[in-house]
Amino acid sequence: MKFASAAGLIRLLLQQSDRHPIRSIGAADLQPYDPRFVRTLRNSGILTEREDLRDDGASVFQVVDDALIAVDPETGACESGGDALDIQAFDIDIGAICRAIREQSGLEGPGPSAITTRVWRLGRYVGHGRTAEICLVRRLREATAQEVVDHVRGAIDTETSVALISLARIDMPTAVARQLDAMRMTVVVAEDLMGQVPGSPFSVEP
Amino acid sequence: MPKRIRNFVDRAFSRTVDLELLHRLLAPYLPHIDFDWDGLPEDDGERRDAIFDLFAKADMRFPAKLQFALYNISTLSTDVGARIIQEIASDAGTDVLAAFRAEDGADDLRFTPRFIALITWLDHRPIFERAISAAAFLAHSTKLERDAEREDVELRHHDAGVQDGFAEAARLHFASRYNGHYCEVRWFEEEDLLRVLILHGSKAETKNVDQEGTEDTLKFREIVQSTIEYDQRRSAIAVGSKSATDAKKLVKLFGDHILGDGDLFEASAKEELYTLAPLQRRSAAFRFTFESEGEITHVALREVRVDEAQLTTTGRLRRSPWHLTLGDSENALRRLKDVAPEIDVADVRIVHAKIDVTIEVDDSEIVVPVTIRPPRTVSMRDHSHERLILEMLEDNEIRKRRRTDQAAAAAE
Repeated sequence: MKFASAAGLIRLLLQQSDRHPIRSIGAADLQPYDPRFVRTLRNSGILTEREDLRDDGASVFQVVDDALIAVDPETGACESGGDALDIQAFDIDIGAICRAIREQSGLEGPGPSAITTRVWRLGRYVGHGRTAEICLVRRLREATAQEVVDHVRGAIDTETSVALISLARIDMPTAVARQLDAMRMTVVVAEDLMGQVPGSPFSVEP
Repeated sequence: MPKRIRNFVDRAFSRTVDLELLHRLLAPYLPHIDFDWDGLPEDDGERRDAIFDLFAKADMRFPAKLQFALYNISTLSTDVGARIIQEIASDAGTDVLAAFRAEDGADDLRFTPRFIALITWLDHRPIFERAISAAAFLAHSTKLERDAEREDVELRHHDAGVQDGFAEAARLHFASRYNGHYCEVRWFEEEDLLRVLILHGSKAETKNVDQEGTEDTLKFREIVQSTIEYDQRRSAIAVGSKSATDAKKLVKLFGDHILGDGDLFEASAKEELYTLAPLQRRSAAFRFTFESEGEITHVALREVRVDEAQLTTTGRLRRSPWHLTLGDSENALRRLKDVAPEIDVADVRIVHAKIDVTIEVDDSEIVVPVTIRPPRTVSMRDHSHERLILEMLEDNEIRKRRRTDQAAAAAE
């Protein structure tokens, strides 16, 4: 049986982690992917299965013969559509993603630890005669770029190079981009780095 | 105690009701309810206490006709009820309060909605009957709305046998669904609006009751009312009914019998009638716009509920494991930005929005709370300003205009 590529699922996990609050992954979203890979993600704690949703605050859900019935408790109106997969969801644990990146990339030193709700320090990369601290950044946007850079520099000493792995692809504001060189910082996009090493989908090499 | 009587167990009612009118209402039933009016105390306060006790101790022994009268009177004993009575009376060239007006024209504080309902029931029964039918159309807070997929349809309710055919089809539906026998259909025409009121039975109920000191069971089938409003201007139908299944069936029957096509409204069952996209686009900067000199004087965004549900590319609705409901007295989206600045309103779903619409009526202002729940539902407790509110929602691109309107606008 042919499954969609693991890189596609990694991309989905990264995109959903870049939203606030971090989105859940529906069971239907996982269907195209190799169940063995999905199990690996569950075993590593990156995906955690929720209990089936019983309601969404407006409708109460019941599954009858695999058909989903949504009942409005105020009016008693029933609407059927979809199936049991629509109420099965998995949470993404961003901390577990950070641990997977650190392990699969062989990072050293302190980490993973959250510097802010947006920035995770993953560890130190040593290789090819270079050393760099690696940070994962959620929700890096034009409006937040300066704040992110300031936080990272406040937490990591100025002598070390820092690679910011952004979950989103953005154009850095000129004022911030100008500071990056002087602060020995680079910004790379997670999607471009990951999924290159077979068997280690979260491995990065800045 | 029956609900319709409970409404009268009210200190304010017994203290303020016009005793002469109440006496006239109760007179035919006094022997049946074991109440000695002539033996009431002389003192006004004590008389009123006795009346309070009468209603407080009331039970199913009240004759059905009296219960029915009390129920209907209480239905119209509201500001909206009084307004309906007075509008219908003035159309009929009648002043229901004429006999009570002081000659010097002084303001009479007795003229409360309950007084007006009571006097209309006693002395102007045809006007009362018409008002109670009109009030039925305001009773359902949420209506099933559908648009006709074509505009080349003609109302045929004046053709011979059409009204009877519809009434018979409705009767058959309610008889098979509830096994009830009562079904009455009334027709009302008003400019470009055709209203149909269907009184019918509902599911049988059994209650355990205290019957003169012994336990007994009471089995009954309450008569409820469903309403149909067909707006010829927009070829749109709105059906108020306790049951969504009944509402859908009535849409089909109306299409079939009155417009000649039972599937006329089918397509719009899947269309989006309401959207909160303008709120999502503008987030905290969103403001309702309305005519500065119009009847609507203010609209406050009282509550929003957001979650992460979304339609996937395969057409599935991925349900949300969380939701956030936030209220504010003026602008819930602005409050949301303060409370949860990280939430990007454009990136979540707004499940519903509750607004308070302030409307100027006769030099005073009333506030109508409205809930908008895309894709097809809007609810309001008071439908007497429905058209005004729906037009305001259209102007704000929350209620979608019919495609034909858009085509006409484009043609202009």
